[in-house]
Amino acid sequence: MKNILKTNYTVLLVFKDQDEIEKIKFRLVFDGIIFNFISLNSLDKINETIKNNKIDLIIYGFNDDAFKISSLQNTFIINVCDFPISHLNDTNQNSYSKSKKNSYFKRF
Amino acid sequence: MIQIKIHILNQKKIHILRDSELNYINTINEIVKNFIINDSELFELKLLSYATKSVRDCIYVTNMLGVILYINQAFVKTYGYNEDEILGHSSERLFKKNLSENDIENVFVHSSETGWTGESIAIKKDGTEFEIAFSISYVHDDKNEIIGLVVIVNDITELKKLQKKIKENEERYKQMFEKHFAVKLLIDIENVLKSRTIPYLPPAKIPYPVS
Repeated sequence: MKNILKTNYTVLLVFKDQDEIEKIKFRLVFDGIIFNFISLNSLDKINETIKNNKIDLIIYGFNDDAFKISSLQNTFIINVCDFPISHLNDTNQNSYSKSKKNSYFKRF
Repeated sequence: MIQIKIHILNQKKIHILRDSELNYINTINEIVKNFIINDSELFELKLLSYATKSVRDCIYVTNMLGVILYINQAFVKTYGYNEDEILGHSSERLFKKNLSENDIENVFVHSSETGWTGESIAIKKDGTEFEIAFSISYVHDDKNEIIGLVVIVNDITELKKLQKKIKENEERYKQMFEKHFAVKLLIDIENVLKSRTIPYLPPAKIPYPVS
């Protein structure tokens, strides 16, 4: 990796499965970078956590945006989806109805 | 295995599709790596930007045609122009036109392959003239091609006033040495004689013997 000036990153991991969180933590290892991980198993306290910490990166595994992205001007977000992401192009994400999601999951 | 798709909705958010074998985690790893590199470059740019803005000397950047592309806060304070008023305009307006021969001699005191340094007369937005020391350097891009000029300007009005005052004092001191009859010795702090004067003595009147 090239010379990095910023070496300390706070990463918020929000996944239902703690095992998934641990796997991501295990993979995120880069020379000279210190990751401070904050993990949550639900979206309940996500807004509070964002408010109380300076988060550089959010990785979350839920299909709904339960937090205000507009308030995260300098935060990079990775959303792990369980349904085809083409539907996320819709400006109104709710247009992708639950029934469609369910029909997608039935294929697995 | 399900193919992992990456779709960028905006600069700040990326969606990836979770596969049953959790191979997407490798993708996260790559995305985070790129994010850190980009973020670091952005951080470096911000750092340079803040440093330039915080410098007390005026800094402005022009393209090779002399069109002003960037000014720092000291420039705004010294010249009186804000960004809207000066960006995109020629830097010619910042220098005094119709320089005298004496001024021109001072403009390019030193030149080299990397740029120039010198002194000149600058003009503020309100027309006030002031004396400056400046340094002009080329801005090179990644391919070492010259893409512009960075000019660092230092207001030396006070310095020039001080220099003038020192010169006047020297002159006065010199006159004081030359005018008065008393012998004057200039001795420095280590008792070394620096200068002395031999007073002008009018010819002595030799008294004739009274016969």
